[in-house]
Amino acid sequence: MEMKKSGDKKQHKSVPILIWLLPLSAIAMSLFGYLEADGVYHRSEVDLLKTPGFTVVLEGVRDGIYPFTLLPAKEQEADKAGAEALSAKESVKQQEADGSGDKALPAEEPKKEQKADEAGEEAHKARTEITVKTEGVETKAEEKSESISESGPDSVSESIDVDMTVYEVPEESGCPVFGAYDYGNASAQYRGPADWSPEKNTEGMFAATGPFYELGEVDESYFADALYIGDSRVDGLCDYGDLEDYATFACRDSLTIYKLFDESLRFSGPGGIRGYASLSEILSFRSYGKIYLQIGINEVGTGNTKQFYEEYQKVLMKLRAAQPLADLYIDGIMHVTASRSSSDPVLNNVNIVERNRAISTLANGRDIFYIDMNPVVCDEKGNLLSELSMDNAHLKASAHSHWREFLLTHAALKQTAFLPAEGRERF
Amino acid sequence: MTESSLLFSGIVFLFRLLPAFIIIYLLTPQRYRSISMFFGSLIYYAAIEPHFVWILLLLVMLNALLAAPRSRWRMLLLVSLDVALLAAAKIRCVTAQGAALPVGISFYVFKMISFQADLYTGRLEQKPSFFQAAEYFVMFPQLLQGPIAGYGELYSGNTHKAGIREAEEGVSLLMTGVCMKVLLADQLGLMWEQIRRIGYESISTPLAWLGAYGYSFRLYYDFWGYSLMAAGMLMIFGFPYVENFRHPYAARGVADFYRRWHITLGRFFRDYVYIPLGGSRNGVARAVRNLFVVWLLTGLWHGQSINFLIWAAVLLALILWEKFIAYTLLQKFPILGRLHVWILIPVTWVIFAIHDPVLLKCYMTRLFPFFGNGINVNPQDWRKPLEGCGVELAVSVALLVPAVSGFACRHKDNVILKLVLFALFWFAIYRVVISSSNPFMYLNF
Repeated sequence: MEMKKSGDKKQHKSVPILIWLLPLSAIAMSLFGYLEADGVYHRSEVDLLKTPGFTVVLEGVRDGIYPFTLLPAKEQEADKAGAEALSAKESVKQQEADGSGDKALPAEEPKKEQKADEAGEEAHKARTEITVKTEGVETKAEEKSESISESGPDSVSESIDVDMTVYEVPEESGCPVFGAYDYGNASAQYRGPADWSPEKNTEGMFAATGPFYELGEVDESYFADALYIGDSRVDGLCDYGDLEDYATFACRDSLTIYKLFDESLRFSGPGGIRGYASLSEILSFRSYGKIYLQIGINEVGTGNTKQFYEEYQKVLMKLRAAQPLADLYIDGIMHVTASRSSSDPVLNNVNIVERNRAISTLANGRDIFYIDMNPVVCDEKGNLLSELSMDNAHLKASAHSHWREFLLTHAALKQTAFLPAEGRERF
Repeated sequence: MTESSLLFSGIVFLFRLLPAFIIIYLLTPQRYRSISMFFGSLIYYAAIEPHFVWILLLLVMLNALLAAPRSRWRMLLLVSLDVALLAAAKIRCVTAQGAALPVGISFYVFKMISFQADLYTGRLEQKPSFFQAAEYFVMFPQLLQGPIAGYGELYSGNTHKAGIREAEEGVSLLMTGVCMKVLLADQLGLMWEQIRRIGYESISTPLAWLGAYGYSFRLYYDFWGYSLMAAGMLMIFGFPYVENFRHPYAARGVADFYRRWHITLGRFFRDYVYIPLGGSRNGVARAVRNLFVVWLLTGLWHGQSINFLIWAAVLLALILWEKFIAYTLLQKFPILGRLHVWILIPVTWVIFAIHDPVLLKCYMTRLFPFFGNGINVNPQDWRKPLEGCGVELAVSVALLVPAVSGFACRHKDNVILKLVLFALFWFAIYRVVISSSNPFMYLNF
């Protein structure tokens, strides 16, 4: 084989390297991936027929595991790093009911939690102080709250039962979940285990006593101390919801509840403040009066409802710890259009409603509220109106006014003395 | 629906099907290789379009068996049959809700028509053997998206055997095509999806123009990349190189553009429609009529919705303008012709891209905002897409310049360039693996 001298102007001889280099590199990487699949890459199966072994190596590169770092001396370290990086991914995909999304979240220092606890107690005190003024209502409210907490929430119909009626959430949770029809496409693997239903578990971390709120109308100034967290749908709200002069947004495309504190989020604040920061940083910038969270569409296909619910609960605890005085709004996951829902075994409104039902039970009507904007953008069957979306899953820019209107008319207002007497009986 | 990993830039095709077939092909004795190619291609088509493989088989049988050289009635019969089947498939698309055209039919039917016409005119002197004709019709590198090569173009000389040099060039063309498609076209496609998601009534004018150019480049590198992959594969199998794109954006005008864009299609219409109708030999009026026929057929060939006819009509108008009305003006000021290509062609691609006439009109009002402002427009909306695709856009523009790709061509034997290509190729494969490892990646919200 003639060797070509570099700089040689005569192009007659060429060294055919690609024809050997390409297959050899593919085979070498594949062998490595196949042999190490069990080892460093923690993959139980590599289907050789469809998946060349090198896909494992390339996915490892994405997760930060490089083949050339895996020399024997460093193997143990890399092993550990690989395990951690991958178990985060793996645990999300697992169908077992262990719901360990923990790895995806940074371990919070115990000191912070203690501080947060103290702050939380003070917050509780502050609330009870306020309620003392409306004594008559207060006692009734306490009575009612006791009876409700004892009986527990209305049970979520079993995960396997697909024919859903409108779920009755406890009154203080606010807007009811919109019932969805069975499209016949729900994939059973994404539901929670058959014997599981979400239980209201807010003891010790959320305000157990205090006045109840009802949802009412406000103007934009309400959002001056609001933080809105979420995925690309919130991104759309940030750009087109006409609230950027008031609210702070922290969002990112393809964000999931499992990676909420890990990713760098697009940060947009009033007065033209823009940037990128992690959620922990954003939570430390200032004190927020209310925090909205709409997230869940990206993880409909991974994990089951139980895992999602538990992770959501953990996130709420973290938010509460970071911002003890803020009201937390669980914004129900927006549905998709009929054409998407009826043709997709994963991303359909049956599964979305399932998730929404579960997270709605996390509301307590005191400082955690569940609101669901779907009725203002969906038809009577719970499908996102096709004229409001171009890609069947996001609102068009011009349609965000519906969402904006909804937020302005569904703000949690503390029940005050000037409400008509009849209204007070609810509490 | 085609599973994307079976298409040319997919993992299963590149690392399982293609290598397996190459081995089978090399093990087959040279004179039987057309049989291997025929059956291999049929199986590939059956994997992608199981419901319509019978149409392909039927057409192959009819065209290969019934053809006879220099026979007028055979040619007319077979061409009519071919056209009728293609037309029927297209009509079915329009009338039946949700029906799609059988993959590749527009391409292989045109190959069959060219085959019959060449036999009739004597361009093809002898009728080839059954398997060679059949192979010509279904060869998988050209089966799904062309190029629409002529029989004589492929089968002159010693076929089915590639030297090391040709094989190496074929491999590098294949790798180049993959890089273009995955690293440039697919990324630019994401930008177009972002724009679509906003809703055309709400995009700012800068974003509308950014989208027009983004789509134009996306289309170019997707198609050019694909054509290079096809050409590269055929070189590996011992066929000559088929050119389908020749620096279209360096053209001097719209007419010149379409002599450089999708060359094999333009050549088909020129050789089998324009020239038989008389071309430009019988006066201006006839020439105009012949151009009209060609562009009408071009519009119909590209799709089943009305925007394709609008697209063809606009291009016809531009070409008539260039050829007959503004001819002297363009001779004096060649820059005008260039501006036609740089500014007007991207606008025509928007017409090509948006099927719904209402949505199309909406986009036009955003490109040319003389009729009012959009609804709920965010004036800064072009920043995010530009940031997301900045590198790809820059590279796209750079590669438009003939000198840049010319440089790469002249130095294609340079080892360093080959290693760069090698690295880029694996980066492209990395991208493909990452986006397909998460089956819900396409649900990226």
